[in-house]
Amino acid sequence: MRRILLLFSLVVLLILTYASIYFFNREIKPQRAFYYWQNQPYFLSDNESQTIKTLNVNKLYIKFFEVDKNDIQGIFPFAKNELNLSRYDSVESKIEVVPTVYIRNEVFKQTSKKEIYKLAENLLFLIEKKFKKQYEENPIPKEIQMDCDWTESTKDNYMLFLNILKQKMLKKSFFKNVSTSATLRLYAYKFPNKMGVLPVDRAMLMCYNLIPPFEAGDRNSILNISELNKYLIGSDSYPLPLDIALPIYSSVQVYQNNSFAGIIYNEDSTFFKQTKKLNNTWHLSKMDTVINGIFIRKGDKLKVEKMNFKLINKAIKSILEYVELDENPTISLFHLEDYELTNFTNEELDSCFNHFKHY
Amino acid sequence: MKNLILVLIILSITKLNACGPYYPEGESVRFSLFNGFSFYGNLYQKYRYSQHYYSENKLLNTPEAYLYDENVNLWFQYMNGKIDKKSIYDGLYLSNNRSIKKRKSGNLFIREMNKSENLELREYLKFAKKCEAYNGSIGYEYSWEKEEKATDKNAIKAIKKSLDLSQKTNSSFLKERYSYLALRMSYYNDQNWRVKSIFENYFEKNNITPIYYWASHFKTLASKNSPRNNVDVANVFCNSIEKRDACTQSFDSKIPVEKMLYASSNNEEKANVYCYLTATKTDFALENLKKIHQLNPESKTLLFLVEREINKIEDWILTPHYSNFNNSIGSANYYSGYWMEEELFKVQNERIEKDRAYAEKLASWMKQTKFQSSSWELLENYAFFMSGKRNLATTLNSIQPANEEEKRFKEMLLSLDNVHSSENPDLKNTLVQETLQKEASLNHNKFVFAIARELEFKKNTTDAAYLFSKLNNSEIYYEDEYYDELKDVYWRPNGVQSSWFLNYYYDYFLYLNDAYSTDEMNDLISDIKKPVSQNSDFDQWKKETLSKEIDRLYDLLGTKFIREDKLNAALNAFEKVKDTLWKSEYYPFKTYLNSNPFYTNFYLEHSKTPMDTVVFTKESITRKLINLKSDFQTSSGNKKAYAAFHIANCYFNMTQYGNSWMMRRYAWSQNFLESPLVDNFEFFECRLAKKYYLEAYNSASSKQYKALSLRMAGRCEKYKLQFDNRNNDVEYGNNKQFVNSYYIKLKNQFPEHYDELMSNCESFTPYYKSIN
Repeated sequence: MRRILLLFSLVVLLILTYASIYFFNREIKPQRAFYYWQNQPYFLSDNESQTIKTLNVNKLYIKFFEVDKNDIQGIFPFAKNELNLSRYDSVESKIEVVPTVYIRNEVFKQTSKKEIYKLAENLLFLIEKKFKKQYEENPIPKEIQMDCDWTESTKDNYMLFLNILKQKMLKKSFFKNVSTSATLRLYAYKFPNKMGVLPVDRAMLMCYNLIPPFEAGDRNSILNISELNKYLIGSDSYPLPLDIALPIYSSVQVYQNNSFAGIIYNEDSTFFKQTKKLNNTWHLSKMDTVINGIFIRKGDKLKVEKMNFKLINKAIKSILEYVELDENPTISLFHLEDYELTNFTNEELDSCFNHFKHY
Repeated sequence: MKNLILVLIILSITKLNACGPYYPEGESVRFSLFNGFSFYGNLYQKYRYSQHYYSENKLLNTPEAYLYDENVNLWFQYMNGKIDKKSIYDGLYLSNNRSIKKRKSGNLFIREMNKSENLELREYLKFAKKCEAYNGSIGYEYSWEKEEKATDKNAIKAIKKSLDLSQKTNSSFLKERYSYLALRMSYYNDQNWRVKSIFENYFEKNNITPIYYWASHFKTLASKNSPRNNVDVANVFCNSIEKRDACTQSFDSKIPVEKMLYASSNNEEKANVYCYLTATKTDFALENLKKIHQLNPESKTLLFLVEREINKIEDWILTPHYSNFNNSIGSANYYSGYWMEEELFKVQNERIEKDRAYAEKLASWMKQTKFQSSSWELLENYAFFMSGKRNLATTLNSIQPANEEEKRFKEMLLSLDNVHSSENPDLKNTLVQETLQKEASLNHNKFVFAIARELEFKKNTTDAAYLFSKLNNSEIYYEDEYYDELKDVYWRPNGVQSSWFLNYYYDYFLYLNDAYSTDEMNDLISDIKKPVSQNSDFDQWKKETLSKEIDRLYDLLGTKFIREDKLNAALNAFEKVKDTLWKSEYYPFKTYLNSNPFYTNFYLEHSKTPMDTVVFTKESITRKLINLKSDFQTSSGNKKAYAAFHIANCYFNMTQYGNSWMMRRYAWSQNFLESPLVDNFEFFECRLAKKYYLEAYNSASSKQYKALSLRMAGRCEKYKLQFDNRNNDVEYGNNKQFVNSYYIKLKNQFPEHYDELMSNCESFTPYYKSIN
């Protein structure tokens, strides 16, 4: 009897060990993706193209256009993307394109049901048209993504819009087999009761832009680990499968007259020769100069927010510890752009994806 | 003070935002005396210098937008001024194809159109209104692209009809207008070839009129980016009020200036290119101004660009000079802290010097150019004033202002110069008096503030205080959402910090609290009390606010003496405060001075204590403290110890940690709110309290009382240690920096009482009563 009990215990122990390995350290297969957020270029640069190949990226979330609203035009699209992958005959033309649309929150303020139906109809029309024109060589999309910083007051209209969008997609042959995803800010992730649960197939958890830049003080407003943890720790698991978006972009905020005066992306590497570093975040301009039309004066404060591999790794560690992911989440880096890529080596970017393998 | 919460008290009305603390920024702190000569400035509205950069500012100084409408002015001229501009404006833009036919219309312009000799004009207007349908303003790039970008057949018909009507009419006025209609419809209907054709075949062959530039604007939109296209845009910018803003969308900023100059046909066009580039230039533009003047001395845009440059210099020099806000530097704020302020002040002064030198260069160049305009001369003088290199009275007096606006600006400059250039300035000059009263009545706070600061810089703090009391008193901000933010004035401390956490001033009281000495306060109060001559309107106006605030000023004076520990002088001031101030519902003394300052125990600093059965005022607290000090001086032994202990309690309660902090401060925060006030260290380190607890320790015969006194001195020491380490990221505890010598002494000398006093919060009373 004892032997039987011992054997039984061993079997149970083995099962538990296997289960714990499976559940607590299971291997997942992240899909590698980038966001592509530029409007102007018709083609990917050589460097952007090469990065996609080197890193085996198989998905591009391409911002097709943005949507805004005003009194004259009603709800209208703008900032349409002109990228054309059709000229490529290799990797780029095989890549999975996820048409992504950024919708300003204003669109859902005081908007009628009729307008929301019309928006869904127009939006699908334009996505299909642009896809067929600019990405005809790429595979038919499997997913479209909506991006909106919705608030409590616009929650109902946004959720209604997503529902209508799904209904309409089922009736259109082009979208029939296409899933929907939507971006999810950390606040909405932490407080689904207040902000609603997205009626989509997957949600992309945006792990950046955590603090309003003007309130961030010394902290990096793009990514701050303690701020990130505030949202992640103690949150219930979100009722949708999650993908993860991480930032790889940098910016310089110019402060004048006690207020934010402008933002500089892609600053010239010589720029920092003209500044005095005050601490890890703040620089002081050492001379009068004009960058992107902003007159930066000697003594102006510049807040430099750079992303680095170490910081992103810490974020990944927190995400792996506190966020429930399924076996095949998409990890998407924001965003694919020549200048931003110069801040990272290919190995570092590769690691960003690889770290998700061991969950 | 009963609640341990963040408390902020402002005894005067100070701007607080419902969504959180308001911090002035941008236009609110930009210093500007000169708001542009409105007529000229309004023609370039969006290009005025502003922290909003390129923004939709409302027309300044004139709500009558129709006066600046180029189309209205063209009709006005065509009708030889017979019909007023307002009627033309309403007739053109507020009518429709039915109302335009009403012969008995209430609108003079429409009635005129319906006269038999003007029917051709009326038909043109009807046709133009129909054509509006083909002038899509949305554009394909903002559409859902449901229809391909194809030409509307009806639009083509309308274009052809318009061209036909242009051929048929004998009126050159209508020929041009029909041609323009055709050209504009061609652009909106994707007929760019036709835009160019109409432009070449009609507009290039006729006189250059304002409508020529409207047509030129559409031609630039229909053409590919090129240096020549940029030159055309610059020409439209300089010559067309109507298309000045719209034309910028077809300017390619990547094209180098050299290529644009090469593509220009003549010097006037080259000057226009520089005008365009200068109108949005955010840094020093003098070299461009010189080039414009060299290339085209008659440039109509030049005066506006000089106005813009003057506004920049005002912001760069006078904003920091008068308000201590810097147009760029003062970015240490509520959010980012003040940790780099001192360094920035140094840079600020360097920058002002550089900008003053630039102002002098600008002024000297303006003087050399001898532009024949009183506006120019006034601005030249203002630039000299800002350079700090010249007094203005002589030159200014010789300028004859062309209009009321210039006259007003001249009076302000003369007044400012009068105070600035005097060794011992006062407010006796009649012009200064009249200008101050006039500008204050117009809520021109920045002018009043500038005079106040000039007086203060030259040590006439009394007159300065009168003017500070006149600032920001208007009630209209809350009613008028378009209240011009430039009218308010905010200023920052002369040193690094103010005594309240938002670090700026909006009214006189908190500024006097921080910046004025007791002598300056005494001088001010003495002056207020001097009888005012019934004949002097100005003196009555000047003293109007502060004479009603005399109780608050005595309170402030007494408080300043408390900070200096001059108790008799403080009592003397507090005695003059009417009781109504202490009891007023409007002031928070009742709330924050309603506890017993002579009692405290270990743990109930800001909470209700059993001794709070009496209500004190600043006067009664001071009197009792003086009496206790007298007892302390004249007694010995336990009696002396008792007096010392209660003096110490009172000093303790007047610190950051006590129940009567209002004896020293008008604002309190749970954080260390450091300030420029003389008792900054006393307020946070409890130095006087500790001194008297130790006196009690020395005098008491009771061991228990000695132990208690050491315990209390140790608590003062704990606060000192915490304050010493305020910038270190360490918690109060056992670290080296927190070794409390008084607690060690307590443990060594009174080991039998140490644990009880340090750990039992109920133990205070028996110890306290041990010598009673």
